[in-house]
Amino acid sequence: MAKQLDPSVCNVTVAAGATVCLEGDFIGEITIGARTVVHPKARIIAEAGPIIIGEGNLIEEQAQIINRRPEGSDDSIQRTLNIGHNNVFEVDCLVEAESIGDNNVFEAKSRVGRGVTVSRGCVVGSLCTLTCPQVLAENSVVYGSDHLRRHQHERPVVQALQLEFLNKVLPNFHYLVKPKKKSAPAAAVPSS
Amino acid sequence: MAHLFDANLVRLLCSCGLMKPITGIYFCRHCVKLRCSNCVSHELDMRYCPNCLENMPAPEARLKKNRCGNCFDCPSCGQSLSTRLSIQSPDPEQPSRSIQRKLYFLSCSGCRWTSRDVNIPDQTVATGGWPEQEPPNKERILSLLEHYRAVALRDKMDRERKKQAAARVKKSPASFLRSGDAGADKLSSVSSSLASAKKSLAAINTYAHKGDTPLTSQLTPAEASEEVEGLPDDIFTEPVVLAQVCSVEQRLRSPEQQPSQSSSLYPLHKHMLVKRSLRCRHCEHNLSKPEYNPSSIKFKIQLGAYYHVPDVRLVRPVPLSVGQEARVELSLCNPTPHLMPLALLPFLPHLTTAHIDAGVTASSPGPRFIEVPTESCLPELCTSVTLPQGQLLLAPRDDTAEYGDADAHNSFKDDPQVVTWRRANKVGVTVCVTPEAVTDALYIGFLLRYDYTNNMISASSGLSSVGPVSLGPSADLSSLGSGPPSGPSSLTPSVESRTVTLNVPVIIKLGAVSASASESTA
Repeated sequence: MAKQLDPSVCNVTVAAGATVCLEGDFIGEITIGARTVVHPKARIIAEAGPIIIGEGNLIEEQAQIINRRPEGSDDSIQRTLNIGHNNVFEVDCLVEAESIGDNNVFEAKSRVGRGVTVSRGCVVGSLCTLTCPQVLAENSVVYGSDHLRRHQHERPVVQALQLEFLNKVLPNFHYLVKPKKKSAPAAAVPSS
Repeated sequence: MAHLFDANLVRLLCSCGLMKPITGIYFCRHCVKLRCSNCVSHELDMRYCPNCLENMPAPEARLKKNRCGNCFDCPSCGQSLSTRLSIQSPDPEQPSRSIQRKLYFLSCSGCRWTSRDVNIPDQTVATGGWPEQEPPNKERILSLLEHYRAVALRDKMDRERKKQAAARVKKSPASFLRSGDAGADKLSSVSSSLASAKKSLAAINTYAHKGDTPLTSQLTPAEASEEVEGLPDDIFTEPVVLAQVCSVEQRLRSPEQQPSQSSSLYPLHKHMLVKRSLRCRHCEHNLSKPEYNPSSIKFKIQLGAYYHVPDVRLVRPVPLSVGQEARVELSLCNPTPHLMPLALLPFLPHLTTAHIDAGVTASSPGPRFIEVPTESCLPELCTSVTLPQGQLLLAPRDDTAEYGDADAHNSFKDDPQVVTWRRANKVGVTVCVTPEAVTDALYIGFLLRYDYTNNMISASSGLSSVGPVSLGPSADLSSLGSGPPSGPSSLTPSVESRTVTLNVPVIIKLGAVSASASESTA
């Protein structure tokens, strides 16, 4: 019997073709698009509202994507975190951004705080921290210990080969979150 | 645990008066003194590229401005650029279609700069072939170089001519004969000298022709102008986009171009590194000589102090507070394969006159002093330090000791007041320190006196009867067993073993001192 996500904690909607490992931490309402790969120990926490992840994203081990509620704010206000297509969240990055576009790369141990809007084709370098509310211009790169910025010509390449490989390999060793059947939503959770 | 490997906590005072960690100090076995990078001569052995590890001879390196021809650094962040391969590329004739072929471009893994960013065309070969930027002042520099080369040549000729003229004056009898009486060449000896004089004259004439002609390269002198190029019109109206403007570091990385826009950053050829050998300035023996192969990290000769001087380490950091005695535990390690008697003596750096107390024995060391050069940068040392009294023995280093049962401590009659623990070739001692004032960093110093057994291959015979080489004023008066040399004195080249007593000043940084005892415990 395959394990199940706890429906009282989270509501994960997975599109067909995505590889989402069950061992990850999922809290709140999460939608994951096709061809997206979520590694076993990733954390996706939709605290202040739903997180909608697009297609072809790669969320590596210990990456944290958090839709955090600002301290002291009203619980009733819902905010949706939209994540576009073909983003890469490398190992141990922490992303609490306002919204994320397409083709961005969050390198290992990078941190993107609340209020940052990541547009398209941006790279946040390893160990770089962005905390002030700002809009990252398209194709901008933040790198190095001094958080230098530059503008790159081309957006980062899509990790198509890597996604394909993980799509093949991960199901061999991990339980996956299955796409919900539209016809019988109640059948998935009969015991509760 | 980090303090165990923090080399800057324990520093030795080099014979030149500088404080260096043991890893930065060499030990000259011929002078029997400590040497550091400050007091050795550095010799360049070879140049090599750190990326491709290719060796480059000196003339070629000079031609290439000490840079590698094939490896590049990122002009944006300075990391090494790697060559990337892209299979598909647009057809040059029909941009809408793409054809299959291998194309290479340079890419930085740090800041994601690529050679495509600055529109450098992709290459069809993996190495080489990258377009070079022409330095803007290349013509001018070349003409200047040419001009001054000609000037140098002319000066050299002038000197030669003067020398030749002086030589001609000396040979004046011969020149006399040549100008005057032709019949005088009956004398064969004179005619021979005439011939040589003629030859030298001819040589002068050829030089004179060249020297008298004006310089072939006419140099247009540089013109100074008061007019400076104005700022561009849009400098006050257009907002500065920092991502497109080069930083000062980026500009100065390529001094010929000094690009101001990041769109004109070109890959930089990687700087060569050198392997160098170190030589003692006093006896001119090699202290360090690396292997010639660039990929080898080994040394042919490496007389590092950590092979010859006992290694002093702070066992654990202790909390320090004013007026309260702290017990600082040190470990002493013998790196040599010889038994090493050792004692800790007070170090009084500010006494310039060396004072030796001859009657003091090792069991009760009194004050002994060492001379320290005035240029030394010694920190303020804590004065109330109680060092362990008496002599202790360090066992020789034995590589097999850690595999066997370590019961070596039985053979040493240790005073428990001095030695707190003993393991193989290490002992632990305790130093009592009473800080007097609140500081950020408290330093203690002592003199490490130990007997060093020096094995030298002596080429000459009969020298081994010389007494122990003394280091420091009190070395040969020491009571630490600096006996007569034990090496055999024979007529054949032999390994000579002599025992020398050395005094090495050690300065240890202990850390911050808090205000009172109650604060440190809280």
